[in-house]
Amino acid sequence: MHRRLILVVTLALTLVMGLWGAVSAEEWIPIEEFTIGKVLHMTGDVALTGEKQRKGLELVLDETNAAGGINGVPIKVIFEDDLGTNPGAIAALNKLLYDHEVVVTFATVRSTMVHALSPIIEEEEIPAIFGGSAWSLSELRNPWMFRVRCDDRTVGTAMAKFLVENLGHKKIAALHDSDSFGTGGYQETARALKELFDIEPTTVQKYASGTKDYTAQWMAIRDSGATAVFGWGTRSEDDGIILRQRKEFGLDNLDYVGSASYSSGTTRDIAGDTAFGVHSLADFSWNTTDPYQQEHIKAFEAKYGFLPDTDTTWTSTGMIVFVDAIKRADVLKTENGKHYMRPVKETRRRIRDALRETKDLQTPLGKANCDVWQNLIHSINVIQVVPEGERYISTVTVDFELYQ
Amino acid sequence: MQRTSFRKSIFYLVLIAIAVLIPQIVESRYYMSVLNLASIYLILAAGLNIYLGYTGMMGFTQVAFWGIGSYASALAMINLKMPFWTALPFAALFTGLIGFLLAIPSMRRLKRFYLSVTTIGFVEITRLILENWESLTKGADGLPGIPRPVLWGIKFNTPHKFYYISLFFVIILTAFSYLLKNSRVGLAMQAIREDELAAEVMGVNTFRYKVLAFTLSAVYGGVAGSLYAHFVGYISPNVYVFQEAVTVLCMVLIGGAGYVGGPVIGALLLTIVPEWLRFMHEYKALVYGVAVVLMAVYMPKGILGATEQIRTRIRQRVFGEKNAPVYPGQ
Repeated sequence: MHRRLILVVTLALTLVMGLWGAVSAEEWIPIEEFTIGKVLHMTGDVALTGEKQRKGLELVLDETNAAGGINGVPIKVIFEDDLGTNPGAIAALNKLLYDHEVVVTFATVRSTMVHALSPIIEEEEIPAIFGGSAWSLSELRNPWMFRVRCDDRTVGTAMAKFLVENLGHKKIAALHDSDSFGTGGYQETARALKELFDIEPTTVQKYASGTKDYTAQWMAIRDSGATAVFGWGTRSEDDGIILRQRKEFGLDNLDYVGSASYSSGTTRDIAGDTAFGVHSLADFSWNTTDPYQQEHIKAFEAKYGFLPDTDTTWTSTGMIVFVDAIKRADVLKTENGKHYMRPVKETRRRIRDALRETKDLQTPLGKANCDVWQNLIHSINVIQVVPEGERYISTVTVDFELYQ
Repeated sequence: MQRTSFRKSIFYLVLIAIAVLIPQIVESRYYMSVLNLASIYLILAAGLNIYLGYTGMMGFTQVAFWGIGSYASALAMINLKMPFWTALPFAALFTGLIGFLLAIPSMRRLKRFYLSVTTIGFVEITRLILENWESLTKGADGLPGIPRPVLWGIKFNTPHKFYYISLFFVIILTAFSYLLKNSRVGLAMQAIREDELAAEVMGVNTFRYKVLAFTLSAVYGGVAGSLYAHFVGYISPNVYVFQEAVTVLCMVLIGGAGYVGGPVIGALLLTIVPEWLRFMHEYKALVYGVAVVLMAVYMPKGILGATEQIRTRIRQRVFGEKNAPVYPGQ
């Protein structure tokens, strides 16, 4: 009798505890809207790119909210200025996290800034989407960071393949900005040339951002006997001068394959006809044949009156990726006109897991697939600068290993 | 006289007590993070104040010393496996040594504008070395994964905890600045600022004191660099640029060059005000710029200098103290 009583009490307690656990797991928090943070260049030397990033993001945000938000919950994006510096970016992220209490966030497009933000993102366990392309960011193995732009390793590999397989060069010189972007890009292209084709650059020339005279670099390239040059530049102003001087020194017979900024409007304005014929590996091309991307271009131009570019498309892509992951994560619901979200920690964990499961998602930068490095974009466009603007040549997709 | 000194001591103790209590009152990690950055800038500005405010020399090297200190401390911890409490003094001494080696030829041969140009060059050279010595510094990509300080098992990995380390060094180094200013060495430095030739005639070894001022400012830069590296956990050469040197210079000038409290006020103001102005978005840079220009025009001796002048005028007019000192104060 006594034993039976103990058994009944134990079973009853187990049932109560089980039910209680189930109830607490189903706990939802009432919210007004779902908040996303964005560390943005609003002032400082790159404020113009920040404005473009904001427009790209708001295009998708407005579309999402016009369609009823996510499960009926409106989405709000809060922007904080990074002041164009690493300490400024840290303060901006801290403000988003602790003052605005955002649930997920965008980091920035500058790799060194993303590096500076990474420890906070990891400590706070907040899903963060970023646009910095440096491969070293993947090596951090931060489980909460996801990249929505082609990384330097992918672009470097595509650049090496195009130089050797499509243009048929073996004597190739390197010219790059000495900053993080330029150095990282050069290293990845040189690595791919060595690993895939056993080719070493005939000479490696670098310069500081803002250099006005490239005589020494062009003379060294000429003397090295190179038949082609690959260039990684950060500032379009520098790229334009580099191309002008290439012609002044009679070296425009050398094939030139450059990073994305070599096909920018600013580079073309400065370089004039000396830019014609230059190949560039760009995240985004206006002449893409992809119908989804063409639709995006039309929608963007209709809303803002100018064409999208790399700055606008990575934030559009990031927003599309976030919206898709939040939908799949099952973290938001609307009941009787009231909006609810799962507890913040659980919401963040579920969104991170959903981001990792992103597969074949159509975005303005191609199909997003999360790989083991938590990089989602693996395609890059090869274009050529021509008098009419740009000529789309091909889209190169580099093999990657899916997250699962 | 003793009464004034006692009052001052009480005032400073109250200030320290308030500073110690801040993490207990302020919950936001954002504000604590801003305070940590302000503390780091404060140490940088205090170092520049010895060189610029006490000795009257113009220079921009503080940002280079900040960078050297950051890398020395981070590399000492990563490569030499030093604990933070050894890495920080190592970084301070190493930066001091670099400052000393730069000061010897510079102070012997250069003055005024030429000296300023040399310091600008040093900032650029330092940045280029940090960017190009890839095997040691990882180049433009920067050094990630810098460990946080640990003491008796406590990991200083949040802005609240790290604040106590920042505050400790702020108090130590500000106290040192105070003692230095009122010492024989400090008086010799101030004599150089007022009239270098006259000081030399009076028997002050101007070269030795200028080298000492420069070296001390480098040590301060080294400490600030170490704190920055271990607070952020990541450093890269693009942080230590000329623009930051100008910001530190503004901190000293706006707070009041030559006053011990000048860098404290300047650093707090120029770090916290831009954060307060965040709600103005793109317009905050305009408001901030106009405010700095107005202060430079109407308060050429900085906030403390203006305060001192107002106080002196009141004493002269209300109490008839005709010989009340105008400059410099504490």
